[in-house]
Amino acid sequence: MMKFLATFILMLLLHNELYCQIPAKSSPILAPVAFKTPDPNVAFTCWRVCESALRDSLCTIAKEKKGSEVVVFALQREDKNNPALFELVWLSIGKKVFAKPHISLNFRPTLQQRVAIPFAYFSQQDKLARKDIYSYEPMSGLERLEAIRRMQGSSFPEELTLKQALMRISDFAYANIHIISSHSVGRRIAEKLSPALQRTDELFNAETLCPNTYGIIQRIAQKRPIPAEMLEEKECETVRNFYAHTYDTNRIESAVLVYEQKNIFSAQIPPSRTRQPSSKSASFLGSVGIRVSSSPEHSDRNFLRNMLQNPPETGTMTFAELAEIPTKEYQTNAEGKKEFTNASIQWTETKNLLEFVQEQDLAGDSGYLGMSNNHILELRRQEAEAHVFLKSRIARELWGK
Amino acid sequence: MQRTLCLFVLFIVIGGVMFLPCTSGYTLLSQTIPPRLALDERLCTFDRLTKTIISFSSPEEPHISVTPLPRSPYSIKALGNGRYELHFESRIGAGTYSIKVSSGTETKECVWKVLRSQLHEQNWSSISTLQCYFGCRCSLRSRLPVEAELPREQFKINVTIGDGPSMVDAAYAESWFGPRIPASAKTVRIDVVWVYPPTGERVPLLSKTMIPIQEPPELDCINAQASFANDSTLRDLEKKGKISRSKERLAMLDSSRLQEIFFTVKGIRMHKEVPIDADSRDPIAQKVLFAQAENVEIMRLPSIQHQSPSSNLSISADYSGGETRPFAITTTSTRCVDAGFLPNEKELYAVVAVIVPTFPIPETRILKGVLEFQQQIQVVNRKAGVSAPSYVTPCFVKIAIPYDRNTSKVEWVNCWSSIGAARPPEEKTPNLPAEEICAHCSEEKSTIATNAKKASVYHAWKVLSPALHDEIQAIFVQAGKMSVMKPLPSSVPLVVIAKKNAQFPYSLVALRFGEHVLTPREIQMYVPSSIQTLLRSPIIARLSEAEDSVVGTKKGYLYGVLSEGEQSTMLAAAREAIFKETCANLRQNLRSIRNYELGGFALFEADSVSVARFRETFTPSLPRTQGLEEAEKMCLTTKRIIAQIEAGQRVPQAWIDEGGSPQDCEVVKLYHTTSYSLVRIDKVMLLVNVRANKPEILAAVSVSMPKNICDSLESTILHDCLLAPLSTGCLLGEDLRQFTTTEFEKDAKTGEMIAVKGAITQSQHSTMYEHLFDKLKQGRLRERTLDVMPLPAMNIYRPSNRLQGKR
Repeated sequence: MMKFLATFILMLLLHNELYCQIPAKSSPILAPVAFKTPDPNVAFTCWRVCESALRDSLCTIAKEKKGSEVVVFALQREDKNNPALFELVWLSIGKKVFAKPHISLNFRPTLQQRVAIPFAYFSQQDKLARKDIYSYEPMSGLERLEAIRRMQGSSFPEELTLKQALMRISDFAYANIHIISSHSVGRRIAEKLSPALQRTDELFNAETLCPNTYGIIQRIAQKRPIPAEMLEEKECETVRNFYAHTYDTNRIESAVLVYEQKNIFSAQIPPSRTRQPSSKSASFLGSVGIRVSSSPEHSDRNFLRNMLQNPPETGTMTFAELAEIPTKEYQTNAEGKKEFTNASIQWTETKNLLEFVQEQDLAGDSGYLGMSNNHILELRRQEAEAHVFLKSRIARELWGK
Repeated sequence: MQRTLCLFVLFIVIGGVMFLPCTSGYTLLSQTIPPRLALDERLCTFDRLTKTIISFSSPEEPHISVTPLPRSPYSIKALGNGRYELHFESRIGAGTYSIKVSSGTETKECVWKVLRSQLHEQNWSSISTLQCYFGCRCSLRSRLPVEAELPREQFKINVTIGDGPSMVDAAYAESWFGPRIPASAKTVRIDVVWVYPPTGERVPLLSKTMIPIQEPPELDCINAQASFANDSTLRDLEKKGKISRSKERLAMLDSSRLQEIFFTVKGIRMHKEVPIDADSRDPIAQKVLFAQAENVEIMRLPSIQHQSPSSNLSISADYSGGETRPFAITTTSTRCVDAGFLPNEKELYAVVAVIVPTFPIPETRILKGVLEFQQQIQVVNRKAGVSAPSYVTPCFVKIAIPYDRNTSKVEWVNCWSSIGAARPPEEKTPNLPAEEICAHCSEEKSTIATNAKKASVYHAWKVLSPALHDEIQAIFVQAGKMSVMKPLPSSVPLVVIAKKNAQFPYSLVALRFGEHVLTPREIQMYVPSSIQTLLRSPIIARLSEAEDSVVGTKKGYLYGVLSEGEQSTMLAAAREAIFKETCANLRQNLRSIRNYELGGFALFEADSVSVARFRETFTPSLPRTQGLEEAEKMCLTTKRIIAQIEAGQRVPQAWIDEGGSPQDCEVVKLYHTTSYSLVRIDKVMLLVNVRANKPEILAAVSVSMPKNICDSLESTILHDCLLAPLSTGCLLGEDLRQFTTTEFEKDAKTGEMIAVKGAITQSQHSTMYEHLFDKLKQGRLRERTLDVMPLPAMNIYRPSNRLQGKR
């Protein structure tokens, strides 16, 4: 009885942790199917767990019927000496789907490790040999696609809202989503939600008069302390204040747009299961804010990935929230004329950002929305290059081993 | 204490008494003790000893008897003090003698062995064949007669080299090594002597005079190996007339489904360095001089032993389970076309031509087995005036030469012949004058030849691996080309269409599954690079055992061969699919020429006016200001600064400081450095669909070219630039239709409208599309299709005006 009570409390705590960490606000929109399925374009190493004891224990945790199918989607870690080092990305157990957050919440690390290593390499007289650690069945590309198709009808053990999923976007890096960086939308969101200070004549004069302007900017950008000697002049204080705000990491600099990737099985899935209100909004899911960074995007190949590890709440919005942000904003200047502010998208006729994004999307001009490459997708493609089972299968076909 | 002292004194006294006779010696005893009869019990001499002296002592007049009595008489010589010597004045014959000396009642006997003056009999045979070689140390292995119970120090070895210095009285050793023999030596004489101690007479036991000879070289074939003959070697042989790769010969062989491949056998070299001389200036540290390349000559060129049972060749597939056919080694099928020494090396080579059966593309076979070669070389010692040939030794060379249909192809071979239906259609130029037609033909031929030089050949093969079938089908589903989720039967062919580069592996061009095709862009998008690597390596020899042990490292997969006709069909289908896909996703495909180079499009270079319009619109230069004009005037080093920046070099600070006005010079430097580093459009290429009767400009692709490139590299660099064009200057046809030829701005000073951004004020057309299309129709645009595309455009549109041909 005590044991049951302890387990119950633990589960309650874990459940609360998941939901308390992520402010849910009042958004009722649940995470769509795209978050529940791995990206078919990512060549996961995929296998079925065939060892009954292990499979049953997984089914028990997943509260699925014993003997249900357990499919593991894993990525090979880069270790030439041990190609059996995998990282669990998705688990499909019966009619439940476990993404990374659910795996870490529901399975003990030792069990995760056991599932992730189906076989191991050991050295025998300097010759590497493979030894199966548990019984498993590698899946071919077609079987993998079939498993993904089935997963679209499955559910998470704990449902996530779209907002929560967007906040945990790095955990869903391998989901069937597409991330695009949009300069106009990103700037509009950033300026609207965390506006930068305006450059004034006073600042310009201060920059000119302060002898340490360049040094102060450098130090702020590099997050180094500014010695008091550099701030002796009053103007330097002005410069410091302006740039300290500019480089404040709580501010957002931009935002990326998250789309649901084209569903290659859409023809085979009943529309009721997609949970999407309309076909228009189905593809666009929301935006994720990117914090102010001192390093420029082009200098770091993993820039976007690092930035999405811990996105700020500001700027991370569902499509419904974006519908509340107008594309244009006016302000009356000193001369009494209206002028656009906060990076308004002047040339569009759409009223809000959702409409704007949908219009661009419908126009099919993805080049406008995302001139930069899809870093996440590129990385995903590069990470899934091992094909350890395919290679061994071909080797068996050729050499009969 | 007293007791100890007494003992010490007693010890000294006893010691002194005992020590006295030892130190004062013999004289004391001789003086005091009378001589006794004494004679050595054993004596040993050699029969060539001319005078023998035997010492003995006797207290009285001795009586001597020698049995058997030697021919030589003897005499007794008294030395006084009871000492005597028995003298034999001539040689004593070999044998055993007994000498008895009697003095009173006492008698002593000595056994005297007289041995033959020679070494041990066992050495005779080896000594008779004893030889010495130039540059080597003379050596002697010998043994003294067993009976010679004499101290070894009494035996010496003398060496006399020609008329030069000789080595005298070297200590005897059973394995003896003497000095090195210089090439100048005519004779070498070795003497083994016994030195008789009483008289110092030297009795020769061996005397051998030799004429030094040259050591013969030995050939070593352990490292001999066969490899493909490189093209320069073959060209040289062709020039010498030793081989023929003429078109007629190749055609003749091809008609018999044969081809000739050439390989070089290398690694037959001298087993070790051959000494030819010795530098004996320093007798202690003599140096040996070895034969150099000029001292080695070929006596017999490497030749294939066709009849040898060891020679056997076979042709086999280089994958497991492939068939193996024996190959008949005949003088016609396998011949050595050239042989010799590698320049400045003591290594032989042989170029072998083998006529082998052809196989359809892209099959590869391995000619493997063993060939026996025979060859002979000699070392010429010019200083000594002698030479020494090597033995005729057989060399067994392992052959493993992979070859395919194109192995023997040479540069001039028209690449179209290997791609069948992809051959460009015969072009008709009926309206051209004869000389223009000829000019056009020669130009076209040269262009084709240039393209052929790229050795770009397209091959296609079927993937038979079920594992790959499944995986590729999944990729086709992902790409939206198919929706069938069940594995398709093996009757639905999966074909890889690839471009063969100069060497393996291939680069993928297209994948065809049933009727669906993945284009190069789609392959890059959907096919993981590891699967691409797998697909383009259908044939790779098995790896080493160590690599084999790791599952998954083996390369290659089961594949099927397609006939040339089928391959051509596949390539044509792939080109068609690429054409359609490029048109459908033109903007994405423009990002690399690889995406559309096989689509059968034509590529034209826009005229300079249009390029200027593109350049000034999309990549404008920095505006020149009045301040800059003045700064350039004030700075005295303006020209040097500009030249330095254009040369891509750093501007020295001294030029700024010494330029009259450093501030102005800094402005000039900054402007020109920034201006020079701007990426600007240098060429605009027009992608034209020439399939229909009327051409259609599909897109304009802008590229930035490196400065100062030579003409010969221009095409290559243009191709490289088109791999990553400037995205801002890539416009689709519809963009070009909206891109006006002119653009005006109001001049702030005069208030007049002036043409800006490279506006083409002379053009009669309002849009760039019309302008460029008109130029194209007039044939004023230079065609660059064959310069950068591997294959010509399909159904190429020929403008009536031949101006386009002028370059």
